[in-house]
Amino acid sequence: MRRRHGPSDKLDAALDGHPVQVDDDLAPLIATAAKLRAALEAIELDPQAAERHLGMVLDAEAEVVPLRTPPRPQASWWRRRVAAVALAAALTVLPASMASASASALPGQALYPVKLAVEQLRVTVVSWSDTREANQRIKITDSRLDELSRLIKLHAAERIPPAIVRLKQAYVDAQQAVEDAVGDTGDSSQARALGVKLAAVTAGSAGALQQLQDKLDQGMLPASVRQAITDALQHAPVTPELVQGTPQPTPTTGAPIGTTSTVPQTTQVATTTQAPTTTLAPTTTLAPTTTQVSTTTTVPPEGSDASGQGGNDDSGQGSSGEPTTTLP
Amino acid sequence: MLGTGGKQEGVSRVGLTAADLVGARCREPAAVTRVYAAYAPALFRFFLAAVGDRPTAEDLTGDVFRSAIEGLPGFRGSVEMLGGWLFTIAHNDLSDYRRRQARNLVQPLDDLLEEAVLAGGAVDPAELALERVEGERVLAALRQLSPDQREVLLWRMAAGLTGPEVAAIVGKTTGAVKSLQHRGVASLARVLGVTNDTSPPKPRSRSSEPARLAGQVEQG
Repeated sequence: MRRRHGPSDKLDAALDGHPVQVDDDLAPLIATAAKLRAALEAIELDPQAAERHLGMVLDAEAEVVPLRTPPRPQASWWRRRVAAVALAAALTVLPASMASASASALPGQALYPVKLAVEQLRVTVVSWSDTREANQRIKITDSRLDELSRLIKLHAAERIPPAIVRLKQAYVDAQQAVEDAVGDTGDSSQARALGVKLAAVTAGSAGALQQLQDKLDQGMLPASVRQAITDALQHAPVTPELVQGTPQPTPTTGAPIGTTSTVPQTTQVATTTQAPTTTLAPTTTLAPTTTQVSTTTTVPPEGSDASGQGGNDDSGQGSSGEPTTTLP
Repeated sequence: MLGTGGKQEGVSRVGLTAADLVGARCREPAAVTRVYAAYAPALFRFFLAAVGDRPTAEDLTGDVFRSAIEGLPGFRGSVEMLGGWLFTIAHNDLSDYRRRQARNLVQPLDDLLEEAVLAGGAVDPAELALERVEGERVLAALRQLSPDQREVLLWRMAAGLTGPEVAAIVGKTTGAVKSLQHRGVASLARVLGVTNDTSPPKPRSRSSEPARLAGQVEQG
């Protein structure tokens, strides 16, 4: 009969996280197991390898076109849509690497779901690090911005409303990720770098949305999609930073998220946007309504919580009198 | 049951749902990505620690994933069983890899160290080995264990499986798995110099390090 509660049983229980009585024999084994676990946890899968693996499977899809699609209970519209588009992609002649080829895909194109999947994978792979995830989400927002800009240029009006929603959602995700990263990291330079990146994509996004608003105002968009675009611009996800308004230049000096903008910018050309009601402004910006600030909004967006802004500043720059660039 | 342990019915321990399984069968990119993201990191850790070579580990991980996705239409288990099925594929692939390696000439580690010395400008192989970070030292020591001991430890530590789950994958009894696990950790402790003493471990002779490490190159 197998001996119970022997050394191997106790070690096994300890590895499972069960409480065990640790004696002199067991202690070094547990310490060794902890070392091994730590060494293994440090191993990371290269995102490029992950993308290659995913590409292998998705590329192979073209060879397995006659896939049966069993009925799927409670599948959402979005999931059904992705499946349909993926099947459409499988029926076409695909390039050697679907994942790579999907990088420039636009909404409505067959490879676009692949692009989204690869993006999500990249986020998942780096999700152990708030900073890396924030960087990845900023890249995704930049990608959504690029898509919207290209759709505007292509006059693909009917595809613009969902692209706006995607951009705004990506922005919300990126903003949250940056806030998490800034709150997590003790490295103010990293926080500043993230802030600058987010500021750049914020400014670009606001510019694109303003361009759309201008086209709407000038009646340059088909009447059939005007309402949809207006709705997309004004409604969920709510991003007061991205509502249509005056785009702001990308800051040339970094500042951590949460820096208050009560100090007038001295490093920028003073364009002095005077209290625009729809100016791009971050939720972390605190600006007096009467102050002219060269690179930042002078009016907090409606609904923003001014009292809680700036609390994430761990660099001390915001209160030192040092010229700061408030991240838009 | 292998791979069980989800917090709720129809949800695997790694958070996959039945809908993900169905979607992955249809090769929905989003579902395929979720399955990959759920298991690939653990698989890669397992393979890298087992074979000690990053490109090979990446290839093995990719092969397992591709085999799994291609085989999914024939997989009749629930999403809770998906992990066990996938890890069994990995176990078989690793066995195949070892057999292939056994037929090939393996370059002695001393040679590899010499090459690394030349490339890195280090003084000697022993110094190079000793300069490795602790994690690498642990993984190098791990490769001195027998293949069975190593695999059991990796399933437990890299993939987070329980003893019975490991037993199902490697085709042994739970008692045998516990025994392999115990002997493996004990060997690892000896190699790493982990003792119950509060005093630091005895310093090893530098000159003996290459010879010791050379033993870790296994033939399969």
